[in-house]
Amino acid sequence: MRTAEPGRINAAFRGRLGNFMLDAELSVPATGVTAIFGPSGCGKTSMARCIAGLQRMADGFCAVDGDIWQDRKSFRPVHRRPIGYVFQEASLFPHLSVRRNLLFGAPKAAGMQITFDEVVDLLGLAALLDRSPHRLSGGERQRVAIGRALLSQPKLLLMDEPLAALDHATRNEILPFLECVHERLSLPVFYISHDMSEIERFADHLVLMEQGRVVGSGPLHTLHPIPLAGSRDRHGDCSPRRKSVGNRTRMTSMPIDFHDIDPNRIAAILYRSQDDVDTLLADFAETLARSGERIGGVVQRNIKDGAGCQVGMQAIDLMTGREISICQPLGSGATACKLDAAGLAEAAVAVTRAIAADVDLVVTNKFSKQEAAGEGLRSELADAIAAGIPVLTAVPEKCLDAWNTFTGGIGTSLLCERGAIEGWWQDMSSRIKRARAARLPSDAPAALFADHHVG
Amino acid sequence: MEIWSPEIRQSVLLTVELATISTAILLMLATPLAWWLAHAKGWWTEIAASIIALPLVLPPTVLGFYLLVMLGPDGPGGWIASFWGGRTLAFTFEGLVIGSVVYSMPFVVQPIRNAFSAKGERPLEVAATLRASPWRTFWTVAVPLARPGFLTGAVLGFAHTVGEFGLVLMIGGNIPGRTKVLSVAIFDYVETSRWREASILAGFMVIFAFAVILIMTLVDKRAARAAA
Repeated sequence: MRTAEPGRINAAFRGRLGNFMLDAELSVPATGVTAIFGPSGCGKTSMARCIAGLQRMADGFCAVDGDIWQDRKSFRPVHRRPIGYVFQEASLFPHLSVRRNLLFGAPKAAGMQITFDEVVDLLGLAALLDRSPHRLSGGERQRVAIGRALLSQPKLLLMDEPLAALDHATRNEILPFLECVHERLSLPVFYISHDMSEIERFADHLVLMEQGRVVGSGPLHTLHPIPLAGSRDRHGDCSPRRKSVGNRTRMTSMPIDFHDIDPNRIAAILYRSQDDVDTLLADFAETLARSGERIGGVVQRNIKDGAGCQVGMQAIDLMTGREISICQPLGSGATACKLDAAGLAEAAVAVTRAIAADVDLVVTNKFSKQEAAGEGLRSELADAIAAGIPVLTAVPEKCLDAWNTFTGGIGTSLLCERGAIEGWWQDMSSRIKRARAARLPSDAPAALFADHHVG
Repeated sequence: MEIWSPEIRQSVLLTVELATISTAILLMLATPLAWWLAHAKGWWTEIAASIIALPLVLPPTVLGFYLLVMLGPDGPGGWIASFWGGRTLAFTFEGLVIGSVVYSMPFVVQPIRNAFSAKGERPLEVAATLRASPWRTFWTVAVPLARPGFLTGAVLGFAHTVGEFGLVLMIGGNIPGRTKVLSVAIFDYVETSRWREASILAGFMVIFAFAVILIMTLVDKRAARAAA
């Protein structure tokens, strides 16, 4: 891979950084968004710094679109490489205003791929231009940093966990801007993250790193469940579940308060252990999805053998129709099985994506023991409710107390059979449609997002 | 006798002139030195830093003695002086400037070095990723960010030059209009029992010292507020 190929980014670095060994090679298309994913300390950042030239590794090679930046004989210094680099902390120049920060790297000459006005418009910076960086919020700072990198007219944009230092709400505020950037510019981007839900939103290509090595590389959807599920046992930290489904700290530090949420919007199917609630919910949700309703989330289907015994289970992302992960059959006679960690991570992504797309209904399979204990899809469910999106889930009778505690006792709708579910949804959807008719213009951007994702 | 006698005026002007020139030279030499100390990694860095810091610990008379030897007719100072037909740099204004620069160097290098170190590598890396050459990065990022350090260094360098006594006496002597600066003048007046002149100059120095400390505190405060 140590050759320069037009249309590709080729990089290989081998050497010691402190007590860490980097031995990574990658070759990815010089178009679209390439996500570099892996646990903390796996060498993602070192890789990006080597590509940028911020770190010089004697045994290294780097070529972007046929242009050699580093090989055995030569090393192009950072300021001669056409890169944009967004650091984890915005790192704005504190002595310059937002405007002068943005213009710091902008070339004077004409013929730019993106102009100052376009960047200001794209990232919503107009109101901030004359402010000093220390008067900006964390999210605003990071937006300025992204704009500053774009204005230097890079041929490769490196983003090193640009959202990791931000809280959940700020992250959601920035993600749409990032998506706009990726859509507006045909610029190759290296996006470094340990958060699968960010990567899912806009990466085209995924590079998996582990302990200083590249362990997998490929287009996003064909790649990620396999190595992640496989590596879970050896490196507990590499499981995406801990990172993207986790958010445990948020849950404990920030008690959920749903008191300004309309309780009618939250519905739970109350069921007993012998009821086949999975099928009920899946049938209902898939009917809605087929009839063109804007719904998202996950449902599960049981896989039965000829004799009607459950032999496995499969989860379905309602927005894409994609099968998330199929558990190994548990053998005949089994009555329940769970998603494994990688499947759970994907389910979490599916729900998060549905929230981001502002769908009309989020369906999650269950609020059961796992969720009651603070795991599973609990935080995604909380996000959906907090976003004010109608939510439909199922709650086993024995978990009803936990459900009421989770929803703060605001009195959610509890449904028992299909007729009640349909009645609730008809009522809910007609309300949504009335509300939408009343505020159609302001709702347009959300609809755009939804289209982008489904497509 | 009036307060602003020609004699007093002469020594005040000479002191201000000496301190201004020394401070300018100090800033020119200390900036690259501080930059190097803040960024070089290696055992010799600390050795160099210790040599620069020597005047902090050495008695001014010891430093003055060595400087006198160096500046004298048989040292490099005599050789330099021969360029303009002089015989020695000792007991001249130029010699005094050299002495002051050596003596005040640590007070200027240290705050500037700290200011460079405090900002870390990140702003420089950011500038490099924005296509700024090392030269441009230095002038548009490193120096503006280290401004409080430069202010502190300049004020301290100026103040120390004004206040130095032992070293000046050793290498400059007491020549009116050439090397008789304030601190030496006060000593001279006390020696000759001219208490009135001595008290005027001493009072002037007290006010000066107070102003310096006040300015430094205000600058520090402002820097802290800007960093918040």
